[in-house]
Amino acid sequence: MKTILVPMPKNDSLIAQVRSLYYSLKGVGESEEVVFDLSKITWAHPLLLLPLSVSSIEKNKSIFNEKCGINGYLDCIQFPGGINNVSDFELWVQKYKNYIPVSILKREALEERGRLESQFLSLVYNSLQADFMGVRSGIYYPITELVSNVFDHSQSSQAYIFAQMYPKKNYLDICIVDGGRGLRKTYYEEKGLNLSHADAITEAMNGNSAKKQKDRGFGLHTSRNMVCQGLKGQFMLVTGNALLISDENSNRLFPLPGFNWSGVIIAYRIPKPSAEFDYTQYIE
Amino acid sequence: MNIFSKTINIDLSKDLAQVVSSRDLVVDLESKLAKLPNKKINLDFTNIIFVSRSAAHELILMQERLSEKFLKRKLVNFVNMNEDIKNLINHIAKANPEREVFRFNVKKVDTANFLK
Repeated sequence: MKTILVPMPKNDSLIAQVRSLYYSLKGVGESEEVVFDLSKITWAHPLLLLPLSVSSIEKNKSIFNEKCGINGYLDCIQFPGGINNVSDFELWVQKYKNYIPVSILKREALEERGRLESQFLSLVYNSLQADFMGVRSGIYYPITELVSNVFDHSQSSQAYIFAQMYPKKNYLDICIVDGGRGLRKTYYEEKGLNLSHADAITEAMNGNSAKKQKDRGFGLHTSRNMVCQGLKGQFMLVTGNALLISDENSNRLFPLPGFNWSGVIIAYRIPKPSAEFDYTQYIE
Repeated sequence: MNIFSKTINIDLSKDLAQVVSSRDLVVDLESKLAKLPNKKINLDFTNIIFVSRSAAHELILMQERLSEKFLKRKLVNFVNMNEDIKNLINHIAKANPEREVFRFNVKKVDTANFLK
C-alpha cells in the first residue's frame, strides 16, 4: 500500500492549503488504497483536513497520524471520522467546548440532518463572537445554500462540513465537501452538456442550474458574492481537475494536472465581521 | 366543526429544525402535510431562526402545489415569520423567473506559478 507524506502547507493561506492538498492527492486513483502520513503536519486548516477526512471515509484511504504534531487538535475535532448525529454532537460540544467537530450530514436521516446542521451553524456563529445585526444570516446563508446543493445535485449520500475560527488571526475558515458526481458529470447527466471541469465551474457560477426548473441556480454565485463582496473573504471551489479562486477583485480558474476530486470541495475564509451586515443585498 | 375545516398549527421547528436548509426537507414536509385531514394549515415559524433561499423557494412551491391539488387541496399559511424570513419569502415570491443573465467574469490562469 502506497504511503503519501502530506506536505506541510508553506503558510496559513488558503492557497497554501490547497497546494498541499493537491500534492497529497495528485496521481492517486479514486479507490486506490493509500495511507496519508501526517507526520510533517504541525498546523492545518479545514481546506486541507476535511477532504482528507472524506477520502478516509469514502475513498478507501487511511490516515496515519501517530507522529503528527497536531494529534491533540485532531482528536478535538473528531478527525477523521467525524460526527453524524445530534446527541454525539451535543456531548462533543460539552466536552470540547470551543472546538467545532468535523460533521457529517446524512441524506436519508432528514430530521437528524436538519438538527445537526442547525447545531453546527449555531456553534460556528457563536465561535465568531460578532454579535452585529445581520451577521448570523451572512454566516448561515452560504453554508445552507452550499449544503443544499450537495443534496440537490451531487447524488452523494452525505455532506461533510467543518469550520474553525482563529481568534488571534481574526478569521473564520469554513469547508464543505462531498464525494459525489461533481459539476461536470452533473451537467452531462442532467443536461447533456459535455464540459470540462473548468467550464462546468463557470457554468455553475453563471447561475445556470443543472435542474430544468426556472428560478434555480442562485445558491452558488450568490454565496460566492456574499463571501467575497459582502464579507470581504476568499472563496475556493475544487471539482475534478479544476480550481476556482475568488476574492473581491478577481475570479481565477486554475487547471490541476494529474488531480481529480470526484465531488466538490468548497472552502472560504472570512475576516471576523466588525459591523452590521445586510445579507439581502446579495440574494437574487 | 369537523376536522377537515379546522385549521391545524404546525410548529415548523419541531418538524424540521431551527434552520430550514435544504429543499428535500421541505419536500418531505409536503408529503406529511398532504396526509393531514385538515384543509387549512398554519406553518408556524416562531422558533425558526433562518431559512435558506433554496428552502424558501421550495416552501413557496409547496404552498402552490398543495393549493392547486384537485383532490385534497390545502391552504397553507406561513405565520409568525421573523422580519428576515418574511422579507426573503416576499422577495422570492416576487422574483421574475425570466431574470437577467448573470455573467461570471473569470480568468483562466496557468497553474505553473500556483504550484510552486
